[in-house]
Amino acid sequence: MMIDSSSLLLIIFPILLGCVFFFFQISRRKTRKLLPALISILCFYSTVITIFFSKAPFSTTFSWHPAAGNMGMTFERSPLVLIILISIALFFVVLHDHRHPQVSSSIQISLMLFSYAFALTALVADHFMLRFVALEFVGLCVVGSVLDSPHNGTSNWNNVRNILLNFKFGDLCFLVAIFLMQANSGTFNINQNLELAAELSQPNQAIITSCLLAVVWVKLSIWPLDWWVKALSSLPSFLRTWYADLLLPVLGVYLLYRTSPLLNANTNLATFFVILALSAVLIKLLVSKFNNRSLPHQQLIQIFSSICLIPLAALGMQSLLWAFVIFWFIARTAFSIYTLRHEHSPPFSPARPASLYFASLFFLHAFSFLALLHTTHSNFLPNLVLIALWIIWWLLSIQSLNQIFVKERNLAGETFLEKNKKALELTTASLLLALVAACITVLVVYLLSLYTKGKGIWITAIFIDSSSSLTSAAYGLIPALSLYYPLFHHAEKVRNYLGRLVRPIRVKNPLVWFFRNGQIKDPLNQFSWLSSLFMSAASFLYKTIEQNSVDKIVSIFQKIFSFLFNQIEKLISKELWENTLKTIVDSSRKLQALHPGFLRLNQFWFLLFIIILVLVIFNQSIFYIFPSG
Amino acid sequence: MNTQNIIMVSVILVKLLSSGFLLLFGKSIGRFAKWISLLVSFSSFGLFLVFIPALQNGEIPSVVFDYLPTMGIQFSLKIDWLAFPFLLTEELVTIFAIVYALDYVKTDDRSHTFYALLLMFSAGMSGTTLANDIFLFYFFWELMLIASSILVLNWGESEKRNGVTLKYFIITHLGSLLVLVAFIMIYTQTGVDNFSAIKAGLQANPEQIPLIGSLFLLGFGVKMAVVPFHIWLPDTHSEAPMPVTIMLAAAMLSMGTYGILRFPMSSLSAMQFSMFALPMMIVGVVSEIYGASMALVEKDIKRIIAYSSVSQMGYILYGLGTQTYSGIVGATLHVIYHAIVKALLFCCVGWIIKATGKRDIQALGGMHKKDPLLTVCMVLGGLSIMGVPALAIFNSEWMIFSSGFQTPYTGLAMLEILGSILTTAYILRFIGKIFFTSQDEEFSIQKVPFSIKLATVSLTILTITAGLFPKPLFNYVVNELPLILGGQW
Repeated sequence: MMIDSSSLLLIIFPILLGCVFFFFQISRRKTRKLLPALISILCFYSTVITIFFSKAPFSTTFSWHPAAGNMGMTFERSPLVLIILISIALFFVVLHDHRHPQVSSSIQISLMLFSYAFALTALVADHFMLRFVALEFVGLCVVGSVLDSPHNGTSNWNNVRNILLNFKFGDLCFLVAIFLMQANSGTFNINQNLELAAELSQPNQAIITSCLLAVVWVKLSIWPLDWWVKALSSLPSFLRTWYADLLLPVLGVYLLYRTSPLLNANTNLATFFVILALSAVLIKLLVSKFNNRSLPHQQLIQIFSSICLIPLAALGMQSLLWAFVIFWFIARTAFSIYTLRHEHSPPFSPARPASLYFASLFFLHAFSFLALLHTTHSNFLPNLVLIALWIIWWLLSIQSLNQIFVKERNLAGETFLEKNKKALELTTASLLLALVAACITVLVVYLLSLYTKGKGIWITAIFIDSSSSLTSAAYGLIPALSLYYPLFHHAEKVRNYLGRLVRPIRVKNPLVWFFRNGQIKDPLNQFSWLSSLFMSAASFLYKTIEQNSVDKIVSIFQKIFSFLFNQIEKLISKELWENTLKTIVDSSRKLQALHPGFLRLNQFWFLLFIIILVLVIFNQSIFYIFPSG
Repeated sequence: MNTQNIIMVSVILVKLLSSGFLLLFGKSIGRFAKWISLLVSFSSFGLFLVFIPALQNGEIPSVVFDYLPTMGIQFSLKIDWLAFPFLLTEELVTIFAIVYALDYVKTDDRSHTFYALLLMFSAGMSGTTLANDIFLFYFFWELMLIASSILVLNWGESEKRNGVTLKYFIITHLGSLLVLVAFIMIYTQTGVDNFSAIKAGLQANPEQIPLIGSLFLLGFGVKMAVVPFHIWLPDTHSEAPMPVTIMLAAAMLSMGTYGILRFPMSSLSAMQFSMFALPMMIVGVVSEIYGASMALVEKDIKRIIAYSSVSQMGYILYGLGTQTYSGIVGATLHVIYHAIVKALLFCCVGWIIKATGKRDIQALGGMHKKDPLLTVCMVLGGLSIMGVPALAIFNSEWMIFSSGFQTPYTGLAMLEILGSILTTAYILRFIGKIFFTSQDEEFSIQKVPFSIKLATVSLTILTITAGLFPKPLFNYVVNELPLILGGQW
């Protein structure tokens, strides 16, 4: 019982501490760092206790929304392993708070703790509404953190707007998937829904899968649903890392893990999404190169590593995917924490141990390499797509290697040979370090998968039977080498050349008007031109139909009335009524002039009329004298 | 006549008599007029609450007097689970509107008339909901229109008020005439005016169902202000004084929903009503998207929230059109939640206008530093209408959205969900521009009266409470289902 209740403390502790930070505005930087770190350690231990000492997964249910039935949380081992890793990541992230000049507020710390608690809730939730609510709250925590940034109001708000719209899109896609599944199963239970989803019709399965992958897209910040990452720029670095590099991606990947049976059942769709993801990386790569944007090389590698999980999810081997998810998160955390640690020192400054930096970079490459090897071995994707995946992997790896040589070339006072020798030494050291890290991680993944799934998985076992896969990898190297030089070193020339090629198409494009005359500043910013298109349509409708509608309606009525008055006035004019009345009065006078008794007769009729009226009002039984139909 | 009957008549009569009293003697009692009207609104709410135990015991409290027996016309009132949520909404909104008006409306030689008409307006709505015969229903339906028209005409906020009132009166009256034609058709066929007899009458003449059903839907659609019958709403809501706008947006719009539930949906079986399902769903989605789009480009802050009502009525119509358990309960819950949230948003708008004297969104900015309490209320109201969990509207929106997938029209259901992103967009624009972006031109802030703050903060608390604890309301609303579409659930 105590062990079971320790599971709930996982969620309660961070919320309680978050409330303390929120309401008491703790300003001491040391306290701000130590308390969340303490909480993450506490959560870590309570998770470990739950995993190792609980005989069966603890589950708890409660009721909130009557239409959604009972909501439950089940503390199974798989999500608990992820929770351990997230707790460790939080611990390291919080420790880095003090290293940066940008100060975080007490509210931002509280929101970070809330987001942690809600993310844990989302991971253990076995009810769709609970998971949806938890994910919404994680999103709101991100928004709240940005809103609390001490930056310029307008730009801060633009960031908030972009994040909220981006998240909202993901949430709505999630809702579509949830309701489609629920319409079939009649329940919001996640496990039951995902099991029954395989029995749905093919189009419905395709919609559900697409919607769930749209959510994954948002959480992993893959183009074109990645506006929110740019909008986090005003946050302190450790918070940005926490949200953009760790928390939301892990939630996205967990969803991908749960969606994998559906992806496996729709192989064509899975292939389509792999191609889409590949195009997204390519576009990002091209945009960052051609537009001289400051998209760091690291970010591309992180996105690519996440994308490598998508084809793995489609293979239908959930245990293998699980093992890779663990590897991915460890590699990603190590890389993110390292880059966070040295974010404010120049990239190749002596303060930054280069071998460790490159080792963490190669560690992530190693993950992508292993994942791609498995994908290639499964023969699931078309060869062209596989080659393209390998080309990108090579391009990013070569660029990483090139960074070592750039660093060494910048050193003054040494000969060319010495510089290259140093570069080679650094490369070897980094690769060796990455290899050691990868080996340890593989062992950890084996042990964790043995404990959580009941079967140990060596993710490196693929090497035994992978000669053909390695050949495919090698095929990718040649095009990568030929593309690398023009792409990375002559980006401007290539851009100009491509610009000349696409100009005739762009001139005929109906969207050109928006690019030139609309509110669009940047044609590559999909949010900008989508919203511009929509606003133009809405403004058109507003101006032509809605605006000054009162004047329009009144003028229509005026026309109708003046027509009616002009035409009918002749018949029912004032003069007509006056003449009629005058005629009646005159004839009455003439009648009275004939005999005075007629005057009394008129009065009698008038009195009679009033009496009948009073009777009708106060006694409806008078109507009995008139037989009703 | 037992006590229950007296209380039921009193729910309406207390307002009507007070209204008459204020009209006749209001001038002499001066500033007490507003306190009397507040007391009356609380009393009416208290009287309404008396019926909850009876309803929970399965009773249907009713009052019947013969009025024109030869013509089968009775004075008949009834409160059942279908009327309950709407009456609750009206009574609550009336209280908030009067609280808001306490300091909003200047005490002068006309103010007693304002309160008298406000009570008459409220009595019209209560009477419409409690009425159990078509004549009484129509009488109160028109009383509602007349009282609100006079309020807009006399206390309208600009020179355009004459035109706006004319437009409001004529368009909504045309809607009422469609309902009247349907009533006359029913009456000539059945010879009875009682609601419970209408169902049997309609079943006897099934060939008339498409026409009568269409007339009802069109007539009540005008009152709901769904596209394309919404044209009266933005002008009227923006022109009316704020307490009247609150009553119009938060309570009167729901009368259209009540009409649809009470007449076509209660009198017809699910099979018979199914012919109207798809058109209702389509109009619902169009209203949702169109209203939100217009709110996105509108500049007048009061009109932005008015267009938001058009959009929200779209959700309700869509929910009703699905003919599902979730859709109908969700739509009814949405009426209540929308009333709370819309009243809150209009209270905030009134607060902004009172504080700054500006209505143009472009002229406003940076309010979060100038008025943090208003910012909190507005943000919570905005988040609520965006469908954020743990705030009022989420609970009903979830049910409406889920209902669409229980119909064969999955594409429409997806459009309904994805279209709601526009709600997020216009609310973000609204809050962002007024509160969180800087304004080049500095402007000063006037002190806002306490009653405006009180109403706004109370509604904010209600929004959170309704969102956090959806069960009580849900358990009440779900009881309406046996009365709708033949009760086959």
